[in-house]
Amino acid sequence: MPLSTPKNWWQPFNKEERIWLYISIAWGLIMFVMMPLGHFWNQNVSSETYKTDPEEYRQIADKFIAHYQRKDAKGEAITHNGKPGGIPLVDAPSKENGDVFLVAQAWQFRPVLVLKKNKTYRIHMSSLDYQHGFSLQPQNLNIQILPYYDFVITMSPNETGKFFLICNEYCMFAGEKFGHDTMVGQVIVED
Amino acid sequence: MSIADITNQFRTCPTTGLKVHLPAQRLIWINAVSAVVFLLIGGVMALLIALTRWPAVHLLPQDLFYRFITAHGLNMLVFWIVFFEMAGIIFAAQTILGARYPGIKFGWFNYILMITGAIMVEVVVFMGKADVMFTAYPPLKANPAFYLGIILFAVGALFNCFQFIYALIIAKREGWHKGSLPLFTYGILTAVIIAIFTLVSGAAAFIPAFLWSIGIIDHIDPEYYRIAFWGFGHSAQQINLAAMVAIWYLLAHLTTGAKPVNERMSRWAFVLYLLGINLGSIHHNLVDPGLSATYRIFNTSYLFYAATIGSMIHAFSIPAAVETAQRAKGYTRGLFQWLTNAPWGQPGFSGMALSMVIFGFFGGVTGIILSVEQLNMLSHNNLRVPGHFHMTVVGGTSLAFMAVTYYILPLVLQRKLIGEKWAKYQPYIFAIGVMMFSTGMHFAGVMGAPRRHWDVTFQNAVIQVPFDPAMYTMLGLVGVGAVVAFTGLLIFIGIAVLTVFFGKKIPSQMEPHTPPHAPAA
Amino acid sequence: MGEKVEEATTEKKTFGQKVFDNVFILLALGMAFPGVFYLGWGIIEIFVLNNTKLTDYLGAGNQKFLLPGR
Repeated sequence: MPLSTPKNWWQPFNKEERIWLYISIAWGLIMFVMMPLGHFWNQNVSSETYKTDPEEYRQIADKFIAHYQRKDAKGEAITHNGKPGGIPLVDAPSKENGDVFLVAQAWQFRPVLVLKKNKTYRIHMSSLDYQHGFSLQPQNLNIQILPYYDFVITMSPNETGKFFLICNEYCMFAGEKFGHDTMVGQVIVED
Repeated sequence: MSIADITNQFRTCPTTGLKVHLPAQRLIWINAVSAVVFLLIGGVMALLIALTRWPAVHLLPQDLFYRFITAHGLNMLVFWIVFFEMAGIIFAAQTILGARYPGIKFGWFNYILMITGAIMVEVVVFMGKADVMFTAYPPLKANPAFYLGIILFAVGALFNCFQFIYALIIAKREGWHKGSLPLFTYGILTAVIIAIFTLVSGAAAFIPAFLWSIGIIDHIDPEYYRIAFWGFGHSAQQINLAAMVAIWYLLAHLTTGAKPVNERMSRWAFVLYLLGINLGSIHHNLVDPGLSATYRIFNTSYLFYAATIGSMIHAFSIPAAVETAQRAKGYTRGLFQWLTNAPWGQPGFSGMALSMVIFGFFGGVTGIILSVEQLNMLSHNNLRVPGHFHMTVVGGTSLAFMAVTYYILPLVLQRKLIGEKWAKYQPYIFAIGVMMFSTGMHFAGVMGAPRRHWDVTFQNAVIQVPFDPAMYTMLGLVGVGAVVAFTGLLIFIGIAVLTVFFGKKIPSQMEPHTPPHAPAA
Repeated sequence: MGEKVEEATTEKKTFGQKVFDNVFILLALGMAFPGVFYLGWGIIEIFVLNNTKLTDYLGAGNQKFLLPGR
């Protein structure tokens, strides 16, 4: 009984118990083996990480944006809403030509990346202040973005359209009006 | 205190014949009553939050929403559950073994540490100086009192864990108990060992965070904190799991007379938990930078699924035990008469059974699924995660704790239950509510809804984010389910509070009790 | 009910039972496994990262980051 002291309780298992144990152990091992196998079959979380700091990352990202920014006929930067203060659009280089830098900060993702379908991109992600969540919708692809860490994700879009980034890691700013729930970004994929 | 004094502090329970050490009973009382107070606070927060996430109602303003999520997480995951577990471990070491509980003053000191810490945290959170969520991820910084309060609470709990181990040693050494521990206490021992690791990992997270909050250290690595924190945060859930399973065995026995079918198998299952279950905490970091795939795979598999095999064993053992006991009573017709004639009207049985189904089929399964790297990318930080953990912690652990309370009240706290008719329905109401809102959360998350987010309509954002309209229906289900679950919660709290303070006292004989296996003088 | 403590028999306990009944062995295992595999290994992993810095990308003349990444 669970309340009383058993005598010598190290007894053999009976038939049903052994069958159940074998099934459980076999199932556990199958599930385990699928994990490294899945690593070769599926899309996986990146392990490529570099240490950085917010100031250094911001400088690199600003240089990146300035270099690859999409400009209109007058040489003005094109933004997500067409107005001067908006988030700049950037024609991202594919991995043969360079790396892509995405900045998460309270409270926006910048730049707006313009990618080409079926090309592969190395996208660096880091934060300038708090922890943020990269949540690509409607794909529902979620990555954690940390300050001091530069996380490189290798991605290849396989459909065109406009996609959205929402922040799903709480990123309150002490004393300021909370903007975590208005933090959005955009990814555009063209042919 | 002389042996004679201790001898005279025991009463004999009229129902079970167990020897209760009165000073320990008072400690159980204060920890259990405190637990229920925090359950009520956390529950009110829960209702308000759910009614905010339901877009049609959207009850709370933005700052209160985030503040109340912080309060809800701490009150439920930390204060309610841990205070209840403190009561449970005293019961397991003292009452089940019929031993004295050594160090009563130390037990009160630990309680004072814990309640001071809890009140500090409560005050600083409600004052708005710690709107950082239960997780408090740096670089979010809370007021130092937040970290200090949690540290005090954790130290008190850790000392209680050491006291439990000491009590087991004393029980053996002084001859109160001889031989192997009963299975229930063995399960609680596993929970305590997991708890010690939990609290040590918590110290590794919160002590540096506290020092950072007062300016002694100027940088805390965010990934270091995440690893150390989840070594505390998720391991705390594994304490709950082990304690809940031990309670299932206890309730199965109290309601149907069930005995474990194979002690060795059940104990192996608890040992597998002890070895492997804390590794799984890394599933919180599956999409974090800085970690290798090997580390992630090895740890998130709970040591080649060893700990999951433990759960499979318990999932076999407990129903097998109930079936064996029921068949012995004569319910042998067909395949399932033993089940249909089980005491479903007793809240101890129904609570246990519902807790097993919700935890095992829904909570545990969604947890194992979310713990796979590739699937985690689809679910990290969206509402699937709270969907999962409300099934396990609320529908599983809390429901089991409520079910066992219906026995603790008359047996340990010596009060006749007030509201027995309500108690009969309470587990069902609560379970239905929990499944409703958890299912709503799960599917809303599958459609992309973020967690810890005040407004998924993004009405104030610069870019409009379109979601599948069905997601809003799911969020409505969250709101409605929360109302049902809150009703079930209030019934439980009503019964518990009325019983403790106004229930008819069940008299019990004071009988001197000496160690039955004392070494020969 | 009236639970009675069953007397331990004079039969020798099996080795497995002795190990599983020993609180200190259980405590040591319960600390060692997660301590080493989860905390220890994890912390080493993130501190080994320390050596690689993003400034390597900038290089001489600020051109390096435009070239194909590593």
